[in-house]
Amino acid sequence: MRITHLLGLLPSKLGLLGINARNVELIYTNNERKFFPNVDNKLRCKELLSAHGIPVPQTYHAVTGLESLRVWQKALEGVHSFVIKPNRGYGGSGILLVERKGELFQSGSTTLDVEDITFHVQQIFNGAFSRDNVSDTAYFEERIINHPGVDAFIADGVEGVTDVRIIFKGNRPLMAMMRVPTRESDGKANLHQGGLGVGIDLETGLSLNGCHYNKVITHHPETGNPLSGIPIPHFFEMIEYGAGISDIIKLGYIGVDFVCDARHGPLVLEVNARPGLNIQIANEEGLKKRLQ
Amino acid sequence: MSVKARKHSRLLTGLLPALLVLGASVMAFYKISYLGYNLDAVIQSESYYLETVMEFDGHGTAVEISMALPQTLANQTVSDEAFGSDDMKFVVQTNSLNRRGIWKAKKISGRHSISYTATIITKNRRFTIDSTLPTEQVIPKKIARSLLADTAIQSDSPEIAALADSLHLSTDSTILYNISNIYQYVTYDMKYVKYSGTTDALTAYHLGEASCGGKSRLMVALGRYLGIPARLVGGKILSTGKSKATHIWVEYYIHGYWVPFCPTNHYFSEIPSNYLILYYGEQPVITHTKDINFKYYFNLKKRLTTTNAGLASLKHHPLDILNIWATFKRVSISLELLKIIIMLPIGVLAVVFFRNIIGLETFGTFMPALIAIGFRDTGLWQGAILFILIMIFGAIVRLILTRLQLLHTPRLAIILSGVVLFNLGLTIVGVQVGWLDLARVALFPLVILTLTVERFSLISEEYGVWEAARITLLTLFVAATAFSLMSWRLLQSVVISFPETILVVIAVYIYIGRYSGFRLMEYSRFRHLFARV
Repeated sequence: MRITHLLGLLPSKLGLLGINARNVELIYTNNERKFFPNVDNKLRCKELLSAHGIPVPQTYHAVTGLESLRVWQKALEGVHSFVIKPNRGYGGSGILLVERKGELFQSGSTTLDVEDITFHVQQIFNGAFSRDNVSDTAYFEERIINHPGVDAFIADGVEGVTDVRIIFKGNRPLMAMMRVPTRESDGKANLHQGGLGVGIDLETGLSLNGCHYNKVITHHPETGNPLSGIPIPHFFEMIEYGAGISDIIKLGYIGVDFVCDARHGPLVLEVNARPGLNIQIANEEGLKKRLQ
Repeated sequence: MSVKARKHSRLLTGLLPALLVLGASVMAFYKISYLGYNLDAVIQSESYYLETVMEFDGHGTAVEISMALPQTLANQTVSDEAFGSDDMKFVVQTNSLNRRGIWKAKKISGRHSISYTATIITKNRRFTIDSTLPTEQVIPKKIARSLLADTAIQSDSPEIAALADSLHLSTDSTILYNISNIYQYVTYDMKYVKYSGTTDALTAYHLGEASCGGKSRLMVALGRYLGIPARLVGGKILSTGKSKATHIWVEYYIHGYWVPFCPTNHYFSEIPSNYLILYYGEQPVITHTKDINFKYYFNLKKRLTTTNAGLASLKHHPLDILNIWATFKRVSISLELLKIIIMLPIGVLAVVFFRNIIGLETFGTFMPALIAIGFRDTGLWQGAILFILIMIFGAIVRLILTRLQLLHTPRLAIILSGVVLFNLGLTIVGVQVGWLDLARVALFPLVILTLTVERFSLISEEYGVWEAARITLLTLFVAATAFSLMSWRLLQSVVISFPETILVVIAVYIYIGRYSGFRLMEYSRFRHLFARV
């Protein structure tokens, strides 16, 4: 008992939340399993949210069977760039950002043809990217264009979307962080692939220091610019939209991922029922402290 | 969850483990105090299942095969003997020292297979030779022939006499002094070489090097020269797996006792617990009629057996689990399989501990425990090496398949097939080069391997090969721990005799399941934050 107290000293001083405590004290007690599909099924989540007036990116087409697999080209006629996502994907795998290049398509540095895209959709459909590999729906979604307000965080030549993760306990925002794609992360905003997390002051909406993997950073490792003191565009609108989501999807502890689109403003990209813990490093403070 | 419901759940998670432990204790107490469970009955001794398989081609003529059979002696118990005769006549011949099984047929054609199987329990035996005992001793008539020279043990040769002189052997010295000098010479001054033919005592002396037979014959010759009755002992060193090798060592008659020495593996007045005696004196382990394409091997499997004496002390009762296991054994349901199943909740303890308390990542939740089951057939180290080999092979197959852009399920099916072929290949190579442990890879749980390969590939695609390799090693580490836990003999004995131990384990799982403290690895994850406090 003594040792556990001693070991508990450091985390409790910072009010840090560990995985066990997050699961036992927050997720199991606030998020009922039967409502998990409200967020794990991303299309359902989008429908629920937009029915309550919360803006989400437009869905062009959903492939739910072989019938709809054949018609994707028709459904996407005239759409220049789009994103293909697995409906029950996790950890960002299976997501393909696509741009038209004449008859062909461009995704990052690789050129794809119609067959390649159909194959990817089929892979999703077969459950290659879903939890437990159950058959999944693939959907085509509008591609986000970064709000110019976040350009200061992104190194030149990096293509990718920054998003803002806000953790809510019910309608109360606990902590926020912007996730920034880097050259290292190959345009992905995933923290464990080398993306940056930048803390956000909930009061002022200004950026704080950040994290790179598990390290606290004050400057962008690729541009050398300081990270803190930059206003996050539409941040307070995000807080406002986000505060209502817990009631809509019936989950009490959630991480809401917003993007800030140049044309539409803030949009909810997805909601996470098991939000990660590195947001604490980006904010240099623990979630437990915020919960008090 | 409401406040009331939360209180309820907290009460339950506190109460339930206590109830489980209480229940287990009551049952254990009952078994100990009323059914008479005691250490002798519970602790199982390690035994070997010895299988000797002999095959030959009959050409319509007479065939005779004989084999030295082990007997129950002070250091070894032989039980459950069975003889496979395959249409041949079988008899056991016994003389004062040895026992041979003889298979005979007057006219026999075609491929035949005969066998001898037995359960063997061996133990270590050590003797202390009093340092004052003289070399001269009273020698019973029966033993006197162990002083005679013969063609392979030339104790009457002048060269042996000269060697004895140079080793300062003398009947005036104590027997311990003489034996020590002899032992020192044959054990350390002579080089050991692996040699499969018969080397007589003199040849071994001339060469200055010998295998177990040569060293032992020279040791016997020197003993006999000095008037100490001495004999060769032939047998088998027990270790799991198939082999043909047999071993020879020595016994000296010292004031009423036959005392063992092994100059090859350095045992002085001691027989280790892994030596099985098959015969005394100069004789082949197996003899057979010529030109019958004769092949044989010994196969040894380790087992745990409860001693019958221990079992007999128990009262009969429907709750008496040991009796139930004994029944299983009688109707030949594999007790080994049962053991794995019953130990699995304990093995999983390692997985839960490393994942939730330490915070190590592994492939899949229970994958490590399932891999640990695979280790049971291959052994830990070989198992780990094979596992890594299969992972590398599987990852290469997976890499090739990525280019083919196949759908998920057929791709998994191909990896599975690939792993099956690879294992088959390893088995064939293993049999060819005589490394039979390698052949056991065929027993590895294939589906588990396939799924692990797939996870490995997905992780290496998404996070890089090093991350995948790291998690592979962690998985292997946790699997090894689970394996050690599951094959820990004492623990096995306890769980098999008291399956209610699993209730206690469940209580532990409930406790860990409500543990909300930091995982050890999280101290490292958040170390940069700690540094800033």
